[in-house]
Amino acid sequence: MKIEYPTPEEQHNSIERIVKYGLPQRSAFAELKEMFRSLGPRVIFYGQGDVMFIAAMAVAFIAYYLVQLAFQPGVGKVAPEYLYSFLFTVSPTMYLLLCLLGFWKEKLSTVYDIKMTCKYNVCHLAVFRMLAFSCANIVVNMLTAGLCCLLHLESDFWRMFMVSACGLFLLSVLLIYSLLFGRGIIPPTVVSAAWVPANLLCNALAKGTYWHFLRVVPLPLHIAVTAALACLYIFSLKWLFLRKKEKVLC
Amino acid sequence: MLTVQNVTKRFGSFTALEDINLEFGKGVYGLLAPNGAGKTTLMKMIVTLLFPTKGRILCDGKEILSMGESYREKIGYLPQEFGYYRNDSPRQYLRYLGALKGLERRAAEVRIDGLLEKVGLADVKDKKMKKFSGGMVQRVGIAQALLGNPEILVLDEPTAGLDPKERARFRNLISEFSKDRTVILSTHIVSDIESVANRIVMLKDHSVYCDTDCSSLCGMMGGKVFECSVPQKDADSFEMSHLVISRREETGQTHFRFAQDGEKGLPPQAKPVQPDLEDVFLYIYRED
Ligand SMILES: Nc1ncnc2c1ncn2[C@@H]1O[C@H](COP(=O)(O)OP(=O)(O)OP(=O)(O)O)[C@@H](O)[C@H]1O
Ligand SMILES: [Mg+2]
Repeated sequence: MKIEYPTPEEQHNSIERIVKYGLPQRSAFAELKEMFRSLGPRVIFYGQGDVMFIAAMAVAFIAYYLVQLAFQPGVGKVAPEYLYSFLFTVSPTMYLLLCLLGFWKEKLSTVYDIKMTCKYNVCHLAVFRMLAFSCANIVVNMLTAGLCCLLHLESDFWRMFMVSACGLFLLSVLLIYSLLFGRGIIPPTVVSAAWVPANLLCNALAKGTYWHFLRVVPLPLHIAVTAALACLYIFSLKWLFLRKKEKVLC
Repeated sequence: MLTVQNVTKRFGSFTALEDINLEFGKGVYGLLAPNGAGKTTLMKMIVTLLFPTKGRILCDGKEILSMGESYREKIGYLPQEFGYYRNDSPRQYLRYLGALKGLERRAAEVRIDGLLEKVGLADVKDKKMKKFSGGMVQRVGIAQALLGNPEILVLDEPTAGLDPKERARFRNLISEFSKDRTVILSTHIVSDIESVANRIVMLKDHSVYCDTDCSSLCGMMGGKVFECSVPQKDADSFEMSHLVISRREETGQTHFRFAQDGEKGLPPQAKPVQPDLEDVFLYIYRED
C-alpha cells in the first residue's frame, strides 16, 4: 500500500491547525496582566496627570453639591426621584472625563503614529486605562452612595449604588460602541455630550418609565441589567484590544 | 521578506495607490516620488497604520494585519511628521517608547545610550526636547525608530532638516544597520538615495513605475542628457523648446542641462553628459 506523502502546503496547514487549536490561547485578560507586569503604572498612565486632575475636580464638585443639598436650610428632603436620576446621570462623570479627555489627548499628541506601531499600542493602553477607570469609578460611586446615606438624603445604600453602577455601565457601553461603529473619536464625544441632555429629557418626558426603572424595579433585576451591561462592555473592550479597524482612537 | 500584493488604497473616492506589487528583501530601498504620489500612504500601510482597501501585505508569507504584536515587534517607524513630548528629554522619551516596544529595562538603557551616541546627541540627552532645533528632534526620531533593533525599518523622509554632516552620519548609520535587515526610506533628497539605497522604487500615476538599482536607472537615461551654453537672448526660446533639467546664468551666456530623445534638432555645441538620479527624476516626472 502506498500512502501519499503530504505536500509542503498540506504540512504547513496541518502545523498551523495544530498550533492554533493545540496550544492554549492566551486570553485578553492574561495579555493585560502581562502588559501591566511589563509596563507598570508609570508608563500606562503616562501623561494622564492633568486629565486625572480635571476628573478629580469634577468629582469634588459633585460631592460639594450633595453636601450643600443636605444642609440647605428651609427646604425639606429632596424628592428621591430627583436624587436617583441625579445619581444615575452624574455617576459616570469621572469615567467619562478620564476616557474622553484621554482619547483627545492621545489623538492630538503627534506621538500617536509611533505609539500605534509599538508592541503595546495606543489601543492596549486605552483598554487598560478604561478598565482601571471603570473600577475607580465604581469605588467613587460607592463613596457617593455612602455620602448620601451619611447626609440622610436617602437611606437605601444598595439601590443608590446599583443605580450609579447602571448609569456608569450604560454610558460605557454607549461609548465603546460609538468607537466601534463610528469613525475616530467624534462619535464618543457626541455620545458624551448628549448624555446629560438625554437624561434631562427622560426626566421631563418619560418620567413614568424612567423613574419606575430607577426607583421601583426590584434590586435583583437592577443587578441583572447592570451585570449584562458590564459583560457587554468588557467583551467590546476585547474588540478594541485586537483593533480590527483602520482608524481607532484617531 | 515583505511582500506587497495587489495593494490598492482609496480614501473615499480618491485612489491614492492602485494595484501595487512590491517585494522587499534585505537591503535599503529608496522610495522616490514627487509630493502627493503616495509614499507616506504606502509606508503607513506597511506599518499597519492604514489598512489596504484591496490586496494584502505579507511578512514571511503571513498577512501582517493578522500577525498583531508579533509583527509590530519587528518594525521601527519614523513618521513624516514626527511627534514627541516637548517636556521630555530624549532619554526619557526613548525610555518610554522602549517600554512600549516591550524592551527589557536594563537592555533598553544600554541601547538608548548607544543610539544617542550614534546620532550625535550624547551631550544633550538630558535636555528638554522643546529646546531642540528641528534637526536635533529629527535625530531623536531616527534613534526612536532604531530602538527596538527592528528587522524592518520604515523611515519617512528621515533626512528632512538635517545638515550635510548629519546626513552623512545618517547614511553611515543606515548602511551599518541594514546588514541583513530591510530598510525602506523615502526622501526628496536624491543624493541621499543615490549613496545609500541598493534599490530604488519610483511611484507614478498611483502605481509602481520602476523597481531597480540606481545604476540601471541612470543607464536608462544614457545618451539622453546633454549640456550646452546658449547666448542669453536665445535662452528663453531654448527653454521653451527643450526639456530643461537645470539652468544657470553665466556672463552673457546661459548654461543648460537638458534631456532629449535622439539627436534630432540637437544644438551643435551640446555635449552628452553622464546622467544622474536627479536627471532621471526630473525626466520621469516632467510635465507633458
Ligand atoms: N487621510 C487621507 N484622506 C484623504 N486623502 C489622503 C489622506 N492621506 C493622503 N491622502 C492623499 O493621498 C495622496 C498621497 O499622499 P501621501 O501623503 O502618501 O503622499 P507623499 O508621497 O507622502 O507626499 P509627500 O512627498 O508630500 O510626503 C495625496 O494626494 C493625499 O492628498
Ligand atoms: Mg509623505
